[in-house]
Amino acid sequence: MKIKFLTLAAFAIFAFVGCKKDECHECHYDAADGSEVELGEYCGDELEDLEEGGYTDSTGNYEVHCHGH
Amino acid sequence: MTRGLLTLLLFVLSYAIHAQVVVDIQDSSGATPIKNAQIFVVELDQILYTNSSGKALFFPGKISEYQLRISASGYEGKVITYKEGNLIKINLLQSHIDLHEVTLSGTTSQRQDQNPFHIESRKMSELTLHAPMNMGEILAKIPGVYQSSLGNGISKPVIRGMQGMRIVSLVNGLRIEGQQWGGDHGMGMAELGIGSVEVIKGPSSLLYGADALGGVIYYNDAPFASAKSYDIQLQSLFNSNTMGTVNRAILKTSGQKWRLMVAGSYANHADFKLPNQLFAKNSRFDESVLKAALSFNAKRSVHHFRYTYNKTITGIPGHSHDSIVDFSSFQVSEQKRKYELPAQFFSNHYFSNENKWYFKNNELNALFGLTSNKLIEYDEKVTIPSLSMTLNNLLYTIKWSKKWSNNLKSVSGIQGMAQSNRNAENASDTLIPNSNTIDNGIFSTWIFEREKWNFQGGMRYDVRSLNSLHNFNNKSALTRIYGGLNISIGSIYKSSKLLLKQAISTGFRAPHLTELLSNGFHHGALRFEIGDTDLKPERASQYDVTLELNHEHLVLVVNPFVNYIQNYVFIQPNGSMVEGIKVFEYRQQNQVFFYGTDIGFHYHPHFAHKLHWESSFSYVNAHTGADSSISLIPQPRLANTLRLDLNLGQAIKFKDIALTYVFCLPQNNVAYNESQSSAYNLVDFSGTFEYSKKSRISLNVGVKNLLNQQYIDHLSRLKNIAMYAPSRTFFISLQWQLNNVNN
Repeated sequence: MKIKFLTLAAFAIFAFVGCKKDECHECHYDAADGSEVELGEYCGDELEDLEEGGYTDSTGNYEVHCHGH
Repeated sequence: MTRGLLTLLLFVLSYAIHAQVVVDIQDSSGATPIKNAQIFVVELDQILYTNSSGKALFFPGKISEYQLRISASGYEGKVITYKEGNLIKINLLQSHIDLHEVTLSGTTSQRQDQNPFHIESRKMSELTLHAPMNMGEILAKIPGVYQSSLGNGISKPVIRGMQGMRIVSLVNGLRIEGQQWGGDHGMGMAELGIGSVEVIKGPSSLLYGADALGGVIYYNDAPFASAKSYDIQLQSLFNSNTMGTVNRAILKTSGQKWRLMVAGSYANHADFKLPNQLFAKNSRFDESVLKAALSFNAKRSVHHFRYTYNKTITGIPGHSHDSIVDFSSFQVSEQKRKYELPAQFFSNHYFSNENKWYFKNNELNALFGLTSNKLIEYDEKVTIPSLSMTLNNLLYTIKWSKKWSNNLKSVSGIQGMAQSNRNAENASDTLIPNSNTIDNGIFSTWIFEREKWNFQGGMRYDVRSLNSLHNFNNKSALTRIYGGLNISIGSIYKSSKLLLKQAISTGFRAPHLTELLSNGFHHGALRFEIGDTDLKPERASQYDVTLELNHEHLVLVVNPFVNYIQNYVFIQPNGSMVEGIKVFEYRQQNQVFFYGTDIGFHYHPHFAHKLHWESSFSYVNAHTGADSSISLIPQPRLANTLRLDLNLGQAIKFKDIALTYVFCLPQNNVAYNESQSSAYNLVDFSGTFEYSKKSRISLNVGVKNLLNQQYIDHLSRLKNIAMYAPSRTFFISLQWQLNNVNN
């Protein structure tokens, strides 16, 4: 019984450790004048879409960075 | 009816008696039983311990013979073959030093002093005295083996000056592949559940085929629990430098015919601290490992199923896209743990099934394996990888061993793999194209023993078929077939005081796709690389001599070698730049001589019986005869370890202390455009306390880099940004073990 419990516990620990969290990041883009424009926090699919497509406004499309490099 | 019942009872009794064998171990006089002697049953991968009367119970199956390796502290180890009977009596000779472990990485399972090819074998417990951070650091404790590291999270072995694709790694016979062509790619091997490691220095293509040109690292899992018992081991370790923790759990349980092991570990380290009190930015990493093994024996066979999952998330320190790099920006005042970009996600699945069938004088071994490696690098974006590759590998080895007479044995077989590499479509860069590789090899080797002599010789032919599946970097899809004939011959002369080994071995390595087809940025290496589709396979021939002088209290080993390599592939800057990054080209040197020696001794003085002094000096150099194109030659290294077995106290013991001093001499022999490296000294110290009752609790405390030396090793990949190695580090490890508990 003790062995079964420990085996299950070991697997449970790994299941927990292996779980990937849905991450959120602060994003920004570099405007044409060189200034950094903050876009706020994005998560999950929204974050992925923003990184893939960039940020678009009336002045154009800008590559977005979502990490502290 | 009564007669029938009696016959049945006798049969059952005789079977029961036959099924249980007593192993009785005593000293050479036969008067003193040896307790806690280890008996490793090779065929079952199982370990037994003798009790206070020097006895252990062994439950053999129907296999015609078993190899038992016996070892006990203070006695010379022994390997015996068990065929039949209910009692095995073994007498061990008292010995202060026994350096001859049994190795599995050679042609066949042999003691080191019976194998002409020099194999270094070390128990994991010997290599982990000072709480190493990674497998590269563990391996670098072995003479002639170094590590090439990119911080703590990425570290790879270097054998006699060669690394990466020239080194083949195996775990329990399964070849592991993990994009080892990239110096900034992880290794995918943790110490969890590993019992010992063996290193073959130099070409070993006879045993392991293409690529085994520089050497082989062979990891052996620790044995299963004794029959009808279970073991539990829990360990926690703290590292002050990285504020890091490592937690491990191992559970083993065995019945009479089956064995099971489940283990897991999790390590988490923040950025490492530099001697100037700053921190190496983005040098953090974490590693999760899960391991499981199941083994059972049938009537005349043994079957093992093993699985390992290993995942690391590691920052890439010293990474920049700037054309002018400010090195000071990589050293920061704040220590961080959560991963930032750039980061590498490196995961591996290793699955193997090994089957051994035993017949009279014959043994058939079939190993099938599957490995899957996923390497993802996030560089500029958190959801879109810059690089994402999956490398799948199907492997087989079939070996037939035949004992022709008491003096003559042969091992013949076939070995191969089918490998596919695929780039993910969402990755922004590709470093190598999608490709398929198929290897097949056939080999035969013969072992002949006569009195004080032992001879081994063999031959192998390999074919590698390499196909890239699409145009890449303006180069069309490529198909290449490379073949290689390799030999190994060796001899041993052994007397009571002297052991002389001589071996000639060859190896070959086919060029890798990155060397053939590169034509772009490799950000991890900070290079723009250009390949050459006309590269030829490398061929190596090594002559290796081992001279071992044995005295009751001293063993002296001298192991010089020369390795002649034709068509040596190297990478060199061509003097131009692309977008501020230096351009490097793959080129080939007609001939290169690697030469050097390992010299070592183990001294166990008569007047201080608790003291062990182990010393080794490793030197390697390369000569081309033409120019200075060979880079990354390790610094000459002198390593000394003093270990004092104290065993003071009763219930709580002050078990031992270990002091290690490493002196690395300067490396002034450098390649074109490579900088020299200064000498450095390292002092590590540790002590172990132990409490034993029903279970055993061990407390290991110590310090690494005691003198807080400010140094950069010549093989550190952080040398190009002038980043020092970690500063003084304190560690504490607590381990709880419950061994040999009856099920």
